[in-house]
Amino acid sequence: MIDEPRRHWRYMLVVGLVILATAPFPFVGRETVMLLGLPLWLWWSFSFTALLSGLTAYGMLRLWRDDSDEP
Amino acid sequence: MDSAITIATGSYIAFLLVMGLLGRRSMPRQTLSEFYLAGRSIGFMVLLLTLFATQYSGNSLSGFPGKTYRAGLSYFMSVTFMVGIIAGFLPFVPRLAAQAREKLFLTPTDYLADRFGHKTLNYLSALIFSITLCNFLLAQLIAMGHAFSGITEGRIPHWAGVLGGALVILVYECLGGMRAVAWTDAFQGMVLLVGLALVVALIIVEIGTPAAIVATVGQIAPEKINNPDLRTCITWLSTFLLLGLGGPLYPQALQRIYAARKLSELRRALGAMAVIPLFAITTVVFIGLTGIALFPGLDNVTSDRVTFKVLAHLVELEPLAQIPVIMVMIAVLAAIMSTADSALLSLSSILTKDVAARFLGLEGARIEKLSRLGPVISAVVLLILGTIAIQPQLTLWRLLEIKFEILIQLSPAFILGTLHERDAPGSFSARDILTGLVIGLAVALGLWAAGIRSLHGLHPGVIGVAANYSAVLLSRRLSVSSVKA
Repeated sequence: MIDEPRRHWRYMLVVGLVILATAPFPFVGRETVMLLGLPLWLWWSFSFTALLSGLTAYGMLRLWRDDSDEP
Repeated sequence: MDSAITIATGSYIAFLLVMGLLGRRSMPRQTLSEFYLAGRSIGFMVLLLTLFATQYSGNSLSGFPGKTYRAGLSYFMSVTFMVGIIAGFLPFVPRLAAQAREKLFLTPTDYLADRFGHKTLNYLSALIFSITLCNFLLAQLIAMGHAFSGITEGRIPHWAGVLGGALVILVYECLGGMRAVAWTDAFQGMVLLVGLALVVALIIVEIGTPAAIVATVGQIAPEKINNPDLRTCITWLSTFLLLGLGGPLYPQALQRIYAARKLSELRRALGAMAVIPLFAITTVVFIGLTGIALFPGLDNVTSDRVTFKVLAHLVELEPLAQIPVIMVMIAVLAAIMSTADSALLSLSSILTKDVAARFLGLEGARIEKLSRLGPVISAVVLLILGTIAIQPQLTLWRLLEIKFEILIQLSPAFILGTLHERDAPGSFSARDILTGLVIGLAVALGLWAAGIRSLHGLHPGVIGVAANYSAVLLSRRLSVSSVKA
């Protein structure tokens, strides 16, 4: 059985990244600011999406091993 | 250019048929597992490319740039949504994949039958999976007609594109089953990745860098790069949940997980899939933005063809661009066909194993008697959906639009179901899951029937799944309380 409580922080981290990626709160309702030719809110969302992507890849390659590995 | 595209299209169709024949020759025996899961023998590279080709439909290639054209830079969030689908595999796929290898599951419903052993849940889940797949298949058949017609500039009419394409799919799929489908997917995935990389390089060299294109968009239509408002953010979060919880439940994706040769190869393939959207979808969004900069003022219908307009413009600027442009055009057609063949194969397996076999009461080795039924079912499904695809009926479309809203309701069955073994203390029972499923479906479909497509930015399916999870947890709590009492 999966040891659920031990994994809670991982799920919380993913949920946090999702919220940060999909909700660029500091920029909502403000004037668009550009950085290196792209809007700052896009940098925000892209950064957290990239983190989520990296964490997911890490989860697939490393954490999965905890649950079920081939003999 | 026209004759080159015709030759490339013809070569691609010939390649598909050859793959079907090779798949047939590689099939050691005619069993359901060999036909539908390639004998669980798919290695890392083919697995990665077939997962990629299955997740990225024709809509991702030709539809996303059109949507970017209309919505602007905010459509970049589709990158986040695509990453979310892969992240959504993590909570349940490790245990599901291990059990699928141990218990030789063929369809997603096999897992539910093994874990919960409840007839109503089995039939209801098979129905939900079938509706979802019919939607996918029908949409791809219609898109295939448009693609053949568009690529050949009308020389192949829409109806002939639908029926001809369906016939080609039927032939190679019936011949080679999952092997043929996975190999053609792998080819399509490679063509797509290389074609997109070349097209982006050409855009940067011939038209401008991303920053220059965004600056042009900002001058033409500043609202398309503006900060999002709160409601938009809520809709993004809701879409992420809808796709992140629903996307991993696509039966064709789950069956590729069953079909992996080794768990280690499956892990590596899914790990790579988590990174691919950062390139693939960003590229597609970039093509849509380029369309805004080059062709401002397109209407909704024309903007759906913005990919082809950008590609044609590139060929005008640089004749050598013909090669990557043809690659991308063939990749669009291949993406549509690969999604259609995957959906058809999966639908055929569900109708054969989950409906026909259970209805006839066949179990164990006796199910193999149905191994020749799969191709017949595929032919019947294609005939019915192909006929509808020629003249789509609005009422049916309306019904099928809700695929994600209902598919997502199976999420607790997989995520909460894989937390425990069957009959383990504290495990979720069939009654808990079924209660949640019925309530979730009632909420999602009720909101949909009332004409509510979004409640403060939230999708009906997401509201339904929140009610679903709440009902499952409440049902288990009540069960535990009654046992203690």
